[in-house]
Amino acid sequence: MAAEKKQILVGEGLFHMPSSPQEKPYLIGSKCKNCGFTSFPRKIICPACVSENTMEEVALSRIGKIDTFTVAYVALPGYPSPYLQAYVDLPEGPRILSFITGCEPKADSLKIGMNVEMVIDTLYKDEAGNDVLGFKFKPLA
Amino acid sequence: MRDVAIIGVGMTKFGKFLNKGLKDLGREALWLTLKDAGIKPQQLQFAYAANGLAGLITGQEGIRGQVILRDAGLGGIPIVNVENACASASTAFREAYMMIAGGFYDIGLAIGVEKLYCEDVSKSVRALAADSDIEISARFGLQFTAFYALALRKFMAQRALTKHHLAKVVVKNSYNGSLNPLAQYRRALTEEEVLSSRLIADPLTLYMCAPMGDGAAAAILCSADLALKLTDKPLVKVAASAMRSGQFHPPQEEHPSVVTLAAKEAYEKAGVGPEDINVTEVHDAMAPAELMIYEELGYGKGEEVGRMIEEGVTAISGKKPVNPSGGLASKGHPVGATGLAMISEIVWQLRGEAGARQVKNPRIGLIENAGGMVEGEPAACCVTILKK
Repeated sequence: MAAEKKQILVGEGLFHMPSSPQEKPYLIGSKCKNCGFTSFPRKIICPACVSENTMEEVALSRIGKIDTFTVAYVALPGYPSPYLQAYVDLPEGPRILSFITGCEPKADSLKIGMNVEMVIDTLYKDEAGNDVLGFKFKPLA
Repeated sequence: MRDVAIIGVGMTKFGKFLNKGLKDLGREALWLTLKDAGIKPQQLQFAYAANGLAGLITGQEGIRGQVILRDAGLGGIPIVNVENACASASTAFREAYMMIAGGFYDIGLAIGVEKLYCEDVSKSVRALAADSDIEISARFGLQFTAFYALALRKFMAQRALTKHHLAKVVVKNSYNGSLNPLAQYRRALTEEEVLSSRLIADPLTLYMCAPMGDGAAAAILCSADLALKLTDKPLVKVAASAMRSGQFHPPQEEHPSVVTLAAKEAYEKAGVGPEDINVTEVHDAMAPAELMIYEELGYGKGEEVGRMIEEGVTAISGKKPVNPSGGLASKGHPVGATGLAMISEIVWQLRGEAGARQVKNPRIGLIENAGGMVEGEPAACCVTILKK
């Protein structure tokens, strides 16, 4: 009998995983209480004012805008191809590198400046065949 | 600080050499360079050995320089291993330069060796992705082709550039590569061939992207005083060596890139400006990135970069030749050897030894070699200026 396939989270502390269908996922960032700069992922040292221990954890907006994107046809092993990849700007400031899901992997599916919403999805399958879950963004209808 | 000269350069042919190991490539580059300098290996006082990815691809870790150079006949002297992604070889060159300029040694070697081809392509692809922050970008599937594509789409939109401009860079560089006997690819491509090759990461097509590659390159540096005694060849001196790492900037604000900052520092150190550079090799792992680098080096701005490629300004016969070697997509890009291959090309150009791809009588040359990716920009960038 094949071993049971599991779902694994891609990393610690990058995003909030909903525990019920009523909850929505969000990215976890940090905001500097000294200069107000907001980072993703969380940082201990503020990259803007370079202060120690001034970064406080914050929930980031779930909706952002596409800064730039590409349709890529060469993927790392275990990742689907072709795929859409983008930088997404969140209103708090962070620019997030992310896959885009929920639309055809074609250049005319996206536009620079388009609104996208963060979702949890399978990023890739690991060598044991487990689904590795992470965040992606999808175009807002 | 003393003046430093380059008395020898050399590189293997770049390509796919499944039957050659790191030692074979390194030995070949070292001995070509010794012959070019006209010195014996026993005269070298130290060596910096660059490699990017052998740890992940062949498993050779820690002492790659000692393993490669011992086999090639060099031992006893200090050998320092250098790793800085695609900028590894320029970093090794810079360390060697500083050791001589600072007076610690009189003559030494910088060498870069890389084998990206192996029996398992996915291993090579994974290894290359590890030149980014693996907790963030590599985990989210970022591939270097996509990284360049993301930046290019925005750059093109802001400067009214089309896919034809991108293709023209490859047409120019593949023609240059066709004149370079050491290049991995030696066929001049047409614009139609470039645009009809398969998409890798829109707008980049296959022929715009550097291939996997194996190869090695080296340089022997010494104090300018010693160089006069050792060689009769035209003396090529290091006018400036600048290096920067990526740094914080608010993502939405316009800011000078790591390449711009390294170039600015190099121009200041050399006492020259972008208008004084006669021949240039730039790090175009995806050939159209050359257009972005024109701007970063101060060669052109905005829509002018499109005109530069349309009007042949950066062709070998143009006013501002860039990548006469063929650039990374034609010459090949064995990452840890690339910087020293670029330096070799500029030395040959300044000496007038570049054969069919010789630029007309250049006096000052510039090498831009960037590597890795952290938070959306190159992790490291070296800009070197050489003068005759």
